Amino acid sequence: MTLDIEDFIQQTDGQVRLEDVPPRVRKRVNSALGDLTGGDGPTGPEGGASNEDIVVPDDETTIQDAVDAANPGDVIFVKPDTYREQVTVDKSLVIKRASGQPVVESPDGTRDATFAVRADNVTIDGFEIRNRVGKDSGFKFHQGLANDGSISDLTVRNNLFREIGTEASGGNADAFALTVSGEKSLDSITVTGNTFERIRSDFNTEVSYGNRYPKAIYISTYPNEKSPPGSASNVTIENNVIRDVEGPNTAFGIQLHGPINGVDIRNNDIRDIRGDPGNDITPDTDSKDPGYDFASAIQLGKGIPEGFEVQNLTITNTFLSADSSPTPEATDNTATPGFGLVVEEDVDSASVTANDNEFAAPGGVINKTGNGPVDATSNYWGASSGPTSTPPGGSEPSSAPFASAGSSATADGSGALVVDFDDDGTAEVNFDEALSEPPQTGPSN
Amino acid sequence: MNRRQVLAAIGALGGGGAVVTGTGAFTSVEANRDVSVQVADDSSALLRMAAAGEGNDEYVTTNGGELGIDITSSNPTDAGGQGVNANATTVIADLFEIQNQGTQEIDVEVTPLSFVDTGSGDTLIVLVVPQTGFPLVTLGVGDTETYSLVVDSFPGGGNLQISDTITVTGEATN
Repeated sequence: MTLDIEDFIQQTDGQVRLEDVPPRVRKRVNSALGDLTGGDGPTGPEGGASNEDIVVPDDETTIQDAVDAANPGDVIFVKPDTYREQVTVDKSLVIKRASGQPVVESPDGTRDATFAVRADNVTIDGFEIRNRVGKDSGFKFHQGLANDGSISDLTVRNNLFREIGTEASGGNADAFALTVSGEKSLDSITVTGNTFERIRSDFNTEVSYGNRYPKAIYISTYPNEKSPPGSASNVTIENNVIRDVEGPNTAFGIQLHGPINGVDIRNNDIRDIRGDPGNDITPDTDSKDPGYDFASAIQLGKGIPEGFEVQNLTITNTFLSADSSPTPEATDNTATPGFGLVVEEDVDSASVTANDNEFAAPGGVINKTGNGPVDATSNYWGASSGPTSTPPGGSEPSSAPFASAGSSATADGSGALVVDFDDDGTAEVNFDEALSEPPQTGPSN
Repeated sequence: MNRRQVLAAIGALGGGGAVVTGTGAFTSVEANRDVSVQVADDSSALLRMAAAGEGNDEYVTTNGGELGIDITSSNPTDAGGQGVNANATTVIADLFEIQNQGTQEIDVEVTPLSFVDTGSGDTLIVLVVPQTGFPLVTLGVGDTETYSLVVDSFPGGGNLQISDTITVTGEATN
């Protein structure tokens, strides 16, 4: 004897109808009845879902409805389709594709993040996420102090972040594809297997606010400058492809902001990060800041209060390329190329290692700190002759070719640029020895 | 000795005895015999109803010897539980049992097997789930049917509560 809920509803003489019971409830009740009455229960949905999982749109029409109906710890499977909605995740859930790659796109006029996550233990797996017009990110995982400010165990994997900010009109000035921020603490954040492409700041529309620095991945423990910084640990960014990030001012593939201790960046491919693409923003809204005036594949530690630092960061087997295209109209520009890695002044640079990467010309590494050299040994600089001291199209620094920190090797090759930021004749980067052949970089699978 | 053998013996006895004649009627007979009927608790009645003894007995109450099911704050568990969770399915397996302690095979039916309460957009469903027969079960002498409970509240549950009665009937199959 195998019973299901329909058997019982028939006993109620019309007091309750089957359609009065949501599909998800039917499924879990039938699962329980199957266990009790010896049946196998109803056939499970595709995509590896069990009878207790929620399937969109079978059980719930929208992803948000599924989130609202779910219990913490549930798995939500989403079948291929285009879901025009803004999803707020406020409980611990796994939300993943059932098959294919469902598209989640912020509806027209919706300026919030496509996925806004405000809970621990959340996994978002296998979506194409678009937010052409939104004010916020394609994905925003933010915990303000009002919500205790601490978040942990976030996994974002196998997603395609695409078309972020490309049609902003006074809205998505910043165009952040993936934001993870917490005012107190972040712990165990994993971003893996994702592709980010066509991330754009608004540079055709006059806007009176916003910095217009598009970013593919932005991790911050200092989102609220009115509060002390928080902290972060166990951040892993691996096997991602980031390409075509472009803004009117500058652009970042990965930016880490605020005190963060322990970041592992490996096997990524970051390229086509472009600032100043044409400088066609109108003069009265031109917010150019010479301090930011170059694009970076990875930028660390800008704007943190004194006493707080980014520490213990490793970058391995990653391809890093950024390009700026300065124009004659940009009077506050210098001919500074985009950089693969920019280490700002609030970083414990001596604990930063970048080995076995490929830095593509024109920009390599710049270390603005006085906290010791960055270990950038064993990298390929885009040429077998090693890094250069001379900016492309720019004047040669007075001390060029200058030496590697801790070595007599000089940056006299034809590869990517290293910089003697304080102009003391020695780069704040140890680039010796350089690889003569490109190492294996990019996603490992 | 079968019937036929008994008749043969009587015949033999009649052939060898004195001849007696008459009607065989009495003017009157009065004899007293015992009749005892006792009302028993459900747990020991002819139609026995009792907690199944499988670990969920705390949800079963006995009031005046009558079985009841109570998963409310009126009957908190020893650990303090006072009701089911909202937006969840609660299964209480092997809650109570019904046993035929009579002398004939019977059909046992529990009605209703479904209880529903709604309010403020929330719904509470209670299903009484027999183990082997639905909606009725045939029990031979000494046989037992075990019943479980499936309770679901959705999407919330609010302050919903079901207070109702189930009817247990047992009827001889012949």
